[in-house]
Amino acid sequence: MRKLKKTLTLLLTLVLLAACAPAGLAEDTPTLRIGLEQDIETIDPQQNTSAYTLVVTEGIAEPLLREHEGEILPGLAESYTTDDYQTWLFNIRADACWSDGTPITAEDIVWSYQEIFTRAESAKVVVLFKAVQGYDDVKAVADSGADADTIRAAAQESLAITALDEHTIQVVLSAPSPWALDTFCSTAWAPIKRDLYEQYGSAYGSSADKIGMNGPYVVSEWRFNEQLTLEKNPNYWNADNIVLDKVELVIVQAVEPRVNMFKEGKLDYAVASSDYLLTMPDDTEVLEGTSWYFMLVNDYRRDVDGNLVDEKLSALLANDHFSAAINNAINRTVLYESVLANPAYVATGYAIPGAVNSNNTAHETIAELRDGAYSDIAPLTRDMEKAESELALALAEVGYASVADVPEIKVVCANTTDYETVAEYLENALDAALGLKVKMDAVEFKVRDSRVISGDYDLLLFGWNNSTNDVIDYLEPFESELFATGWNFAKPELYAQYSAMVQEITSTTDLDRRAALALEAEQLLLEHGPIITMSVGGRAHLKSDRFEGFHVRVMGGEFDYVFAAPAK
Amino acid sequence: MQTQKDGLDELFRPEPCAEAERMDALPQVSYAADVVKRFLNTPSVIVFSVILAIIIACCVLVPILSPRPITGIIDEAINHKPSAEYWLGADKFGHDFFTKMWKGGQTSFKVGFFAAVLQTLIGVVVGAISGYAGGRIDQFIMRVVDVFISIPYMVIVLVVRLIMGSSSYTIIFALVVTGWLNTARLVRGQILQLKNEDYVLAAQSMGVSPATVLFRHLIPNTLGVVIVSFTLAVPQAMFSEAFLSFIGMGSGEVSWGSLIRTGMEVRFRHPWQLIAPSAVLALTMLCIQLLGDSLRDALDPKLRK
Amino acid sequence: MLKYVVRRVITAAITVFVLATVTFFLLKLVPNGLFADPNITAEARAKLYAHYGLDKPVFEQYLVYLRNLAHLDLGESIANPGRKITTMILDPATGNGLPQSMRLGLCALVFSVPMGIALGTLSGLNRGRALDKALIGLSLVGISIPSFVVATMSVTVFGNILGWLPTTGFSTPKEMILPTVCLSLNPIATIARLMRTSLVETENADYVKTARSKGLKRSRIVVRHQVRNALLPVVTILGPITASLLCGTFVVESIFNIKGLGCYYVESISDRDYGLVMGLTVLFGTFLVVANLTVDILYGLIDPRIRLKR
Repeated sequence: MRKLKKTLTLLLTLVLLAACAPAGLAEDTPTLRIGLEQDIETIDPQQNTSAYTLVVTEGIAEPLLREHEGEILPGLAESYTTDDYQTWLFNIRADACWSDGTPITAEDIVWSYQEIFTRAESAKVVVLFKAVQGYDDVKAVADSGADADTIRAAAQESLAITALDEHTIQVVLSAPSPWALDTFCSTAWAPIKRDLYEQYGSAYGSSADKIGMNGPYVVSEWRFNEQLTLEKNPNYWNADNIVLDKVELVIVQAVEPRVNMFKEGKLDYAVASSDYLLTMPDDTEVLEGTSWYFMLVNDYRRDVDGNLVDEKLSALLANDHFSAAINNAINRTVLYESVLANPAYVATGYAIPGAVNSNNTAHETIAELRDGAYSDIAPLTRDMEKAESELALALAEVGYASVADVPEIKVVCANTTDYETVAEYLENALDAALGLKVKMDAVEFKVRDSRVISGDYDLLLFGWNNSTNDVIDYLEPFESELFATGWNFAKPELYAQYSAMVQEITSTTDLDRRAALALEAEQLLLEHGPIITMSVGGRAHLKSDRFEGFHVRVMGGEFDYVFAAPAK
Repeated sequence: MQTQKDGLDELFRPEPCAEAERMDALPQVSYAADVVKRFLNTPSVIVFSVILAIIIACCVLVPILSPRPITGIIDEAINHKPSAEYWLGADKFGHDFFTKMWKGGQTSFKVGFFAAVLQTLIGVVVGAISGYAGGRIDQFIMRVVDVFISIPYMVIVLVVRLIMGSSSYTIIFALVVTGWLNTARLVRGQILQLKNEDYVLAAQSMGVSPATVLFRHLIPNTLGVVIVSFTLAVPQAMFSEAFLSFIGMGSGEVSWGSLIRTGMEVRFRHPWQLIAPSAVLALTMLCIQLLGDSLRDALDPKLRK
Repeated sequence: MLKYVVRRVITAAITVFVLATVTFFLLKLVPNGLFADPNITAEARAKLYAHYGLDKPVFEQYLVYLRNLAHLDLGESIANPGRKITTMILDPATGNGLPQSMRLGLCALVFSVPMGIALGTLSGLNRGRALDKALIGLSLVGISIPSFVVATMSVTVFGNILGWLPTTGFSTPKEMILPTVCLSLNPIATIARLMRTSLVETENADYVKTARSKGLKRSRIVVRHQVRNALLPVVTILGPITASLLCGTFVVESIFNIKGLGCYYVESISDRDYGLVMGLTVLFGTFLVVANLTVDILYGLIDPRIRLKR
């Protein structure tokens, strides 16, 4: 009986509460629900940079500065000063603190930046410190397999990030760089909470209670593979400007249920399929230029012992006329407008032109400068005659009697429908136009990546989106060991020339010179290098009208929901 | 005597009957002939055999005879709506979908047929040896079967794919590795029943070698069960191939599964590209399953009238 | 009987052990795609190998794996750093993973077993009549359409076009209808077909003839003698059906966004998350072995012929 009474009282209270709530002042704002395509693996800002994990870390981690709609806003630093774009001083706000109220000092932040070098799992993120003086030295120590203490010592000694006092951090870059502002906004530059990190080690960030948060939101609940619930962080310095009380990031892997959940009102934003976009364009918003797709030609395919697998074929693939033949045998316009039929457009160059840039116009300059400039290298439509004559030249130079003597060419791609479609297009188009036998090898992402590393492909379909939108991020990978696994051997002079250009772009502060060099380097590789550029992809997003101040964007996390508010 | 004889004749006077009925009563119809007769006597068998024959004929002939190409890129036909020229429309490469669908059927049938043949062969041999040998060998083989049957076939496919690369042979191999187990169990059960039959014992006592007993006397007698399990293995394998293609772990060749996968993506714009291959796949499954069922009924001596 | 059960349990345990071993070495055969992120340097990769204990000799890894398995601990997931594989399979906090799959599987089981038996009986009792033919036809259609087609079509028709039912989730009764039905079609058809066949076989059985000659009422014969006996073969296939329903299904769970184990079957394989692959394999194997064992023991209890033989 007593139990019943208790239950009744409880019920009554609940009913009363429920009745009061709408009348109360502290009315909750509606919950913003965003559909994510992949399970979130970690919410540790130092661990992952993929667009879908950034969606979380950008909400819960505050870096030195924050980017919103192309503007640089203050973050942990309330202001910064720099005279020469090489030495930067950040004034850390006095009230900077973790969500539990513990203050964040300049020392904590510097410690975080040093610690990142000791973490094997942060290997992808650490590259965002590349511009800092001393990075190469510390990275060399870290890569040598040294233990954590040695790496820490090296970072303390060489990395040019220092806490001048409790509220001032000085960052010295290896070269003057006005566009480093982009980097300071990336969540890799957000601190990690030392006591929790030391307690949990590599499990830091693997659940909501194993991480320190200092962003506008905190993760209140993380149901793995299902959803993350973000709640407003009352201790956030800018909490007054954060409107939403709750944001839910719902993980829905397959596209059908994602679209269905949007229709049923269970999601406010979601990535749609291109088929949906084409049939029901009214609900969708297209974000253009999220990623760049290209084909990589392996000029120097080796086996495990480093010997060429097929010398003649490699010579053919390395031949400039061969690339020209392929470039002219593809009808890029048809491929992207009709075959793939997704919001992509043909790429004639390789730095994404449409992206927002924070503080300089180098990208726009590049896009304008090259406007149509390479249409003879990577034409928009096909030119069969030119393709045939170029192939004949290539065959003659390498010494194949006819195209029938060329062995089957393997094109490696990931096993998603879009990649497979492009590969199938190549199979059909190259056979019909040139008589080249191309065979698709569609494999899982992991397998593809290991093929990239070992150079086990003839042609490779690849795509990426960058976490910052500096032109160097598009040029540099081809110089690095990642994609320079073949052509640096096959064409050492070209590689040296390209390398020198990239070096100069990294160090110059002359914007015009930088843009001109970027253009030149881009053209150099398109014409003589291993790249056949394909497209700049976009994505179709479903968007409800219940919220405003919400954006999808190219760089960083795909959804910028931090300042979202209910629509009036 | 005479009268007595007459009386007997009178007593055992044969009942007059029609000639045809007499022929029928003669137990001269062999088992096989009877099976065929009963099999063909079912009206649905005729109907579905004809449908299956048409499907197979289409798979073989349409890709050869069709005037519409399914290679190269036909710019002007890309995403063509169904029309008199393109019966089911054209796909994103401008390939005639009708032709391509039957081309896809070739892969499906190839995988289904070869996987079923191989797994049945292996299953019969292993199952027969297991059942005939008995004792420890039987125990061992059956435990191996138990273990293999518990491995999800996705895992096997993964391993095989990574070692052999992706082609329809990989799929066939993976399906055979996982598929022979049921046949083996089935055949073993049959052999266990049969091996105590008199004719087997007689052969054994005459000193016939075990191999001969097995392959001459025992296995042929399990044929009925084997045929039925084969007819069920074909659609099973076609199904698995479709599923693997559907999740992107297929052979990389055009098949009904891969067509359904792409059809799924474009189903709002081109519903036919999803419906047509799904329907043909389902119809084929239906035919083969039904023929298998009827065959089983026909082979079942208990249902013999 | 007890001896029989004990022997079966021991065999089952050995089967699971061998299965675990075979899976382990099978996965070691696979060329490695682990940590194949192009952005990771060789040294960082070596560190990760060490972190997951993959730098040790294979046999040592095997021993560690067995010891962990005995403690029901499969270590950390490779694709989801810091997350325990056991928690991924069975998440006590959210009830995702196995519990969710089992919820769906149980719904399908509860729906499909009586349904299959009822339809099979109906069909068998009306052998040769129109109803029988219609039911046979339906069950053939049921097993002829791939689950991924059934699921997409039903979502499109009942959800998108007609708007009768919600198409995602699995919490409210309304949400449960479509996934349960989609998942049940195949088992219903399988059970119904088997039930019909074995019921037809009992028609000519001696005990039925005896019962008829005794002048028993038809309904009594059907219920007491035919159906009960015809159920025996149906019970045997319940083992594999139960195991496959309860351990999650990729297509249905992914299309209806149900957070069960289904997605991991494909994902773990694409991600080369070997610990998870092994965990799922052993889990599925164990379910299958246990289900078969239960069925065998039940069978022994039901069927006097087996009970007496042992």
